[in-house]
Amino acid sequence: MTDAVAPKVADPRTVLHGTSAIADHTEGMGYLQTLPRRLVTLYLPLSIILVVLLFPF
Amino acid sequence: MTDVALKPLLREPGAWDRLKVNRDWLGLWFMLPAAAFLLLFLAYPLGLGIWLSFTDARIGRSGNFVGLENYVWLWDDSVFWLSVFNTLLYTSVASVFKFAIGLYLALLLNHHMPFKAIIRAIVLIPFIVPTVLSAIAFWWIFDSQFSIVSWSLRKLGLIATNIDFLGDTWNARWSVIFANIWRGVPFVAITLLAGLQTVSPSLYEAATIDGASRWQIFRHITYPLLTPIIAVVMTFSVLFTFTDFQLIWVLTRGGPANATHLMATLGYQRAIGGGYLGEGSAIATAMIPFLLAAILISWFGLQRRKWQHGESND
Repeated sequence: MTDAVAPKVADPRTVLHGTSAIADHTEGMGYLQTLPRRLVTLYLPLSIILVVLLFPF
Repeated sequence: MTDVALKPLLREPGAWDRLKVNRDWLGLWFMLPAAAFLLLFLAYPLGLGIWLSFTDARIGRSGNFVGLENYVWLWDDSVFWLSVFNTLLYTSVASVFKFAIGLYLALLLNHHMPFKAIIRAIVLIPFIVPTVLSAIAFWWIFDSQFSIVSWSLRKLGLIATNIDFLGDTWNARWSVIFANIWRGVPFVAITLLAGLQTVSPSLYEAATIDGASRWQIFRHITYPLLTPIIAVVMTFSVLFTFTDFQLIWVLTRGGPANATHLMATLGYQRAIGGGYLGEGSAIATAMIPFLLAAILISWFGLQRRKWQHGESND
């Protein structure tokens, strides 16, 4: 039981880069979102806005 | 004997010596350089501009006091009123869109995602690039012959001829408004993002557990906690938009047929281009009441509520 949890907690990449939800503090309960939902509500509109912002360059 | 020997050394401190170490005056000493800077570069030009608006000064000739003559002249000037209309339209439409898109972008950037820092840096690019440079890019995009937008729409079969973005009055107005929105969105987004990051995630978690919808979370948690920073950022945004000059001057120089002349560009054209310093100054001075109104609306309408200080509302 302890062995199963240990690798997650001690993952050096998430600890070093602070990319986990715990380190970030901005995700909240975002883990409830599915990938397709994130694609439509986050990545797609963000991509469109970024393309428009970078278009003149 | 000892008292007599020390007396010349322990002389009574003068008023100047006391002022130098007085804590109450210390603040004044620290403030003096900034105050001098503000007086020299802000208050003096403002005062000079207001004074010039009451004179018939022209370039190379100091003017005489003419009272309100410049303002009376402007009151009957249709181009001036057109510039007032253009400025209000430009400011209101651009500010509303900058706020809406900026807030939406801030909410998107507040999510956890890969390459978050790089994306946030990229978003800032339109704001950090010199206005003249981005205006020249839009000049090409809006060109009547070589516009990539017209070319793309023609290739897609949606239009038959090129769109005259900067040659038609209303097309020109919407084009410069679009360019201003494009340039202003990053400033609003990044500032609001800073505000969003101060909102505790535990509030969102509690609301989610209570069954609140996304809209309810935004309406009752995010928006109220962002109100103070929205007040500040939108005040700045409205002021910057109202006094915009560079973008218009590079793209249209106020044309076609004065359709995109803002008060700032018209004042410059009359004062520097035409040489009528008094009249140009009067146009610039006429902007002050609008700017004061914008500040007051923001101050009284969106200022920090009492509950945000930990007190209850009346």
